[in-house]
Amino acid sequence: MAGSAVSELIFFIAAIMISSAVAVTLIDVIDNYSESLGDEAALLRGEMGADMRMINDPMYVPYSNGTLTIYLKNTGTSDLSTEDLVVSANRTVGSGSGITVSLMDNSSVWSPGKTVSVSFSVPNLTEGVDYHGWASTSGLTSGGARRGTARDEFIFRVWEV
Amino acid sequence: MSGTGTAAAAAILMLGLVTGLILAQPSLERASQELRSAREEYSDLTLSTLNSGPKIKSAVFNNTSAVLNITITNDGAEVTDLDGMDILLNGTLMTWTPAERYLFPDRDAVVSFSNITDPRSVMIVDRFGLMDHTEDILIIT
Repeated sequence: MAGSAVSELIFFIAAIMISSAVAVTLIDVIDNYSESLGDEAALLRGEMGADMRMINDPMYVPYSNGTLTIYLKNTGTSDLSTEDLVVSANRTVGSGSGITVSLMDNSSVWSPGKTVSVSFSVPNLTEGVDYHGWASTSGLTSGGARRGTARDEFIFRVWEV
Repeated sequence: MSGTGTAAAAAILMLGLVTGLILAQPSLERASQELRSAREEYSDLTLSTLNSGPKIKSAVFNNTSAVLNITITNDGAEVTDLDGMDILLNGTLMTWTPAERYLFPDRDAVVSFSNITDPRSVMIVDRFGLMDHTEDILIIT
C-alpha cells in the first residue's frame, strides 16, 4: 500500500515536470514563430516603404560647368532620408555636404510621390558618352527611425545646359 | 497505479498544454495580423502599379508662340494622380500645376509650357516611377 502511494507520488511529480516542460517548449516554439512572422512583416514593409527611382531622361541628364543634376523620386510608401543620400556618377561619389539636395515642392520631408533634385560635381563628362550612375538612401519610419534601403541605378548621357 | 493517479496526470498534462497555448496565442495572433496587413499593402501597391498607364498622346510645339502642349492620356485602369506626376523637358524637370488633380482612365489632360525653345525630348513619370517618353514632337509655325 505504502509502495503504491510512493509510486503514485513519483508519477504525479513526473507528470507535473513533463507538463511544465511541454508548456515551456510550446510557448518557446510559438514565440519564435511569432517573431519570425513579425520579422517577415517588417521586411516586407521595409521593401515597400523604402523605394526610389532615378527619373532622369537618360539621354538628357543636365550637366552644367562640371555639375550634374539627377532627379530622384520616392516611389515607396514611406518617407526617405535626404541626409543619408549617396549618389554616384562615373565613379565619382557624392554625399553629405558634397551634394545639393532640393525638394521640388519646397517641402521639408521627402514624402512618397515627391521628387528631389540632387546636384553634385562630376568632372570631365562629355556628351555622347555612356555613363553609369547610382543613388542610395535610407527609408524612414513615421517616428523618424531608419528602416530599409532604397537604391537605383541607370545608364545615362549628359546634356550640356 | 490507480485510475485516479492516471487521470490526475493526464489532467495536469492537458493543463500544461492549454496554459502554453493561452500564453502564446496573443503574440502569434498579433504577428499573423501584422504579416497579413503587410501582404495586403504589398498586393495593393503591386496592383496599382500594374494598373497604372499614363502615356504621352502627343507633344505639339508652336514655334510662333513658343508654347509646347503635351497631351497625357490614362491608358490604365486606375485613376492617375497628376499631383505626383513629373514632366521632364529636354531632361530638365519642369514645374507645373495640374488643372485637375485626377486623370481618369481613357481621359486626356493637356499640359502647356510657354517660353520654350528647341524642345527635343518629353518624358513623364507617374507616382510609381512608371515612365513614358517621346522625341516625336510636332512643330507647327
